[in-house]
Formats: sequence, structure tokens, C-alpha cells
Amino acid sequence: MVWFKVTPRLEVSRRSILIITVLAYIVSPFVVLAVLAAAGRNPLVALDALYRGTIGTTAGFAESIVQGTPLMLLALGLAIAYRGKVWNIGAEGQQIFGAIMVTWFVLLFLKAPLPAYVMIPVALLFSLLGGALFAAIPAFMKSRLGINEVITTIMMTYVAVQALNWLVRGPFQDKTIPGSYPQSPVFPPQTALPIIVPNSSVTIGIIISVVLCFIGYYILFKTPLGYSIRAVGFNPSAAKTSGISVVRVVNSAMILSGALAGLGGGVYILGVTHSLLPEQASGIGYTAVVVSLLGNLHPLGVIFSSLFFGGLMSGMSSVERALQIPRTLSLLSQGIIIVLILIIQVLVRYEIKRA
Amino acid sequence: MMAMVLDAASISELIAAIISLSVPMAFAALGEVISERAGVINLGTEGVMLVGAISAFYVSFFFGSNLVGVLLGAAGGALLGLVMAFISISLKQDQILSGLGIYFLGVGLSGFLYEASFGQVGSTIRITGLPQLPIPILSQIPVIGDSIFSQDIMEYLAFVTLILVIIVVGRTTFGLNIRAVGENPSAADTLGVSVTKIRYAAVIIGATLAGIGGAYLALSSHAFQAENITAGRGFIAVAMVYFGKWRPARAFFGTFLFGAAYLLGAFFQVVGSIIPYYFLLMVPYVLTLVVLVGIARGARPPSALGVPYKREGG
Repeated sequence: MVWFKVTPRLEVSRRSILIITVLAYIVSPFVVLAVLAAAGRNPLVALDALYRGTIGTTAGFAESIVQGTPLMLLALGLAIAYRGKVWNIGAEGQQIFGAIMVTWFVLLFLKAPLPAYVMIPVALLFSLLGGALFAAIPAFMKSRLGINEVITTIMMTYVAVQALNWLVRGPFQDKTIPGSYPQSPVFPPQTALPIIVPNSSVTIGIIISVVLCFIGYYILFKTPLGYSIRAVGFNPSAAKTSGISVVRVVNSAMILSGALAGLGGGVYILGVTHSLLPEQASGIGYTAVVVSLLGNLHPLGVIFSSLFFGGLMSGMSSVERALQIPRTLSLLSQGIIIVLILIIQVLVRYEIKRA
Repeated sequence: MMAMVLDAASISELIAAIISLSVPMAFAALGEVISERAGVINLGTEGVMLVGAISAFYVSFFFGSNLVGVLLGAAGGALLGLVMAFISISLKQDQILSGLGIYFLGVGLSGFLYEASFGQVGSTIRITGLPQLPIPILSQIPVIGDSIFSQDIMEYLAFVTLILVIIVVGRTTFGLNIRAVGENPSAADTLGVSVTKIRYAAVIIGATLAGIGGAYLALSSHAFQAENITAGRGFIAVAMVYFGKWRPARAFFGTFLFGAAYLLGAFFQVVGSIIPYYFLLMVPYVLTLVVLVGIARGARPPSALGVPYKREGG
């Protein structure tokens, strides 16, 4: 057995971090293709499908943006939380609860909807609040009782998924459709996010998301709150000694990330599905964890990583159709990518020698 | 239905069902106790269980051997444990993050392996599972004889493992070293204990037990669902370590509470009740949250839990 000695490098240039991150982007699709080849599928057919599902066709490109939009909001929130070492893993549950709150509001006005300029902002506000409320519970369990937030946010997600399953088959179900499909009534057109690219599903959601990423950058790097979050993440005890309230940081980081996740769920339901479906629990909240890491936990990095992953999702579903392979393959590639990034980051920041 | 629940035979069936539902979590919780006592949180337990499950199911289905299935499940768990140990101990990455990576890896790997091996097999994928082995004489005792002393081999093994873990952690040099590197790694290091080696061992043993738990989950369910057969059991096992205050027996029996909670959902689904089915499915998760709040005040984790060890000036 060889034991390794790991020592931190004294200086890590921003350029080397950038190069390594870009490398991770380029390498990861090929990792997926290698897995496919190992499973006996034709990687060239997969590559072609991947190309057509992402940058090769207009439809593929639009779909990449559509998939990337909610992902961007979720990952932005997680990036902010993770900077403060607040490990919110429940973005999935928070976005589901955001969408549930949106549905609740929209159904109240189903018969007589108000004009779009009222319906859309209020609906988005409901999604924001839904996510924030749902994150507040683990936030307080962590900050007041010291309970590991990873476990609580995951448990909360299971609760949200079952609540969704119940609502679409119960109180929210559209009883007018014969055959009792598990879904809510289709939302009125006044709630649909305006489309900005003709003949596609690309909505103002992408603009909102990108703008919020810039605001997130400002909050994280230019405000006292952002400074406190980063200080706690860097060294909690030192931050505490210098008078930063760790309780406040944990609460605000968790609730902020929950609010953004809720908004992501809202943007998805108002922009894409226009109805509450069981598929709202798509696992996007878990993907967002990887996306925030791939974006180096940087709000502006998240813009690129989420569009990249949106492309990966759109591309992978194109590959899945072409090769008839399961969705779990995308999950596997996420797992490989997360481990890859961790190892790559170590190679940048540490020297590894044989001991 | 209520009348049926009350008679002796049904009570013993109920106990047997709870044990069977709890044992996968119990194995994983024991493994997590060992890992955390050495100072490493393995949040990837859920993923490790999934890999253990698919390995065991694969062997049982294609080769008909449950024993080899369990062994392969254990090996799969050990392998993921090695990856976890490498990232979190050698590379000193954040343990929470490393655990998440392992979780994703396990979910993806098990789902993919399932589709790759069973995708074309057809809808009814069933295995025989493990035979019951009643213990002579003891199994004749009314009520508990049919339930506690008429289990399959893995259920007995779970109790044996519990005793072994209690002895190893509490009464052996190895266990002392585990506790030392979890409480005060630099002191242990000064005394010549290799923090790295002990932590590697603890994480790999822990993941092996989680793999066995996953294997048993697959074998006892007889039919395999493609994705997510664990449904959060790995995370609940980690929560039970908190609940058990890092003591093996408390964590072990804590999982039985959750076996009962899962059973409740299944029971009311059969009976049909006024409580919506989906609320019953929430019970184990809500219960976890409530239990965590309840024990939060008194819990004191190992001092070095979650902290990668760096030798001063090293």
C-alpha cells in the first residue's frame, strides 16, 4: 500500500483554477461517452446525438437554455449557501414546494385570472416564499439546535415529494380530465412567462436568472452579509471571534438558497409545464449541487455551469432517445463529474508526493 | 382487520416484518457508528447501500446464490468506502462534499447497472430470497418464537454484528485507536497511531456494513425496483447514529423505530384508510426530523468528527 503525503501549495493562481474548471467541462462529456462505450453502446452515435441535442440544432440549443434556467437559480442559491459551509442538499424539495405554492395561488384565480402583469409577479413571489419557508425549518434546526442540515434537508425533500404526489392526485387534481391523470388544471395564459425567442420555450426566466446571478455576485462579494457568509465558510471559529453571528449567517444563507430554489421551481412551472405534475420532482435539485460546484461556487461561474448542464441534460435526453438507454446514465455521469472535480481541485491546490 | 392484528400470530408476524424492514438500516447504522467514531462522516451511505443492493440482486438473479450476492454487496460497499476514504482522508476534502459525491456515484452506478443487466429481462424480476432458519427450541416460544427466533441468516447476523461492533469498539486496541483518532487525532498521532490507517480501516469497514445492509434489502424485497430501492434508508441510518449518540446499540435499535414506520405505510395501504396514503409514506422522514429535534440538546459527537487530520507543520 502506498501512502500519500498531501501538502497545500503556497500559491494557487486564479488562472490555474480557471484552466482546470474549463478542463472539467471539456472532459466530462467524454467521460460519459467512455461509460457508454464500456457498456457496449456506440459512442459515435452518442456523440452525434449529444451534438444535435446541444449546439448542433436551434431546437437543441433552445432546449439547453430551457433546462438550464431553473438549474441556474437553484445552483446560484446553493453556491451562496456552500460558500458559508451551509450544506443545503434539499434544493429539490424547496423547488417542489415553490411550485406547489405557485399552483395554490394560480388555482385561486383559475376561473377569473387577473392580468398577466399582476399574475406573473405575484406567482413568482409565492414560489420565492414557498422555497424560503421550506428552507427555514432546516435552517433553524441547524442554527439553533446544531442538527446536521444535510440529513434534515434530505428528509424535507422526501416530505415534499410525497406532498406533491398527494396534491396532484387530491386537492389540486384536474377532475375535468377523464381518466384521472395525476396533474393540476392547466394554468391560464395570463400566468405563462413571456417567450423571448420565437418558436421555442425560452422565456424571460433566463433573463431573470442571469440578472439574479449578477445580484448574487454583488451580495456575496460586495455586502457585509456576503462577507460574513464567506468568513464563516472559511473559518467558523475565527468568524465568531471577530463578532460575526454564525446563527444569522446559517439562517440567511439557508433561507436565501431556499428562496432561489423555490423561484427556480416557479420559473419551471410557469415557463415550461404550465401545470403541476408529478414530474416536478425531476431530481433537478440534486443536479444543482453538481452545477454549483462546477461553477466553482461563484455566482457568475454558475451562469456557465448551469447552461453547460442544461446542454448536458438536453443532450443526454437526445442520446437516451437515440440509444434507448436509461436516465440513470445522466445520474452516473453526475456522480463521476463530482468526484472528478473534487480530485482535480486537489491537484490544483495541493502537492501530492509519495510518503 | 383490527381483530386480526390483536391475535398472537399476527403480533409475531408484525414483529418479524419490522425486524426485516429494520435490518438493512441497522447494518448501515452500525457501519456509520464505526466510521464516525473514527472522525469521518460518510454521508454517502445511501449510495453505498444502493450499490450493495444491485450487486446482491445481480448475483442472486443470474447465479442463484444469495451468499455470494451478500459477499459481492459487501465488496461493492468496501470499494466505495475506499473511494470515500481516499477523497476525505488522503486528499483531505470536505467530508460532507465527499459523501455527496459517493451518494451520487452510488445512485447513478446502481441505476445504470440495473438497466444494463435487467433492462431487457422483463417486468417481473424476482428472486427467491433467503430461507428462514428457526432456532430449535427457542422458536417454539409463543409469539416471539415465530418472530425473533425464526429469522433468516442475515437477521441473526445483524445481531451478531451488533455484539461484535460493541466489543471491537469498546474493548479492543483497534477500537481504542478508532476512538482516539476520532476524539484527539494529534494526541493519537504523537503516540504512534497512524491516523490515516485507522481512519481508512474505519471508513472501509463502515461502508462494507452499509453494502451488506443494501444487499439484504435487495434479497429481502424479492423483487427489485429499478431506482432508489433504499428510499432514504441510508440517510436515516446516518440520522440514527446521531439518535444513538454514537453508541452502537442505541443506533441499532433506533432503526427499528423506522422499520415500524415503513411498515405503517405498507399496512394502511393494504387496509385502506382515511389518511391519504402519501401522508403515511412521509411518516419515516417526519419521524426522523422530530427525533433529531428531540435528541439535539444532549448529543455530543466525537470531537474530531468532520475534521480532516493535518499534522502540525507537516
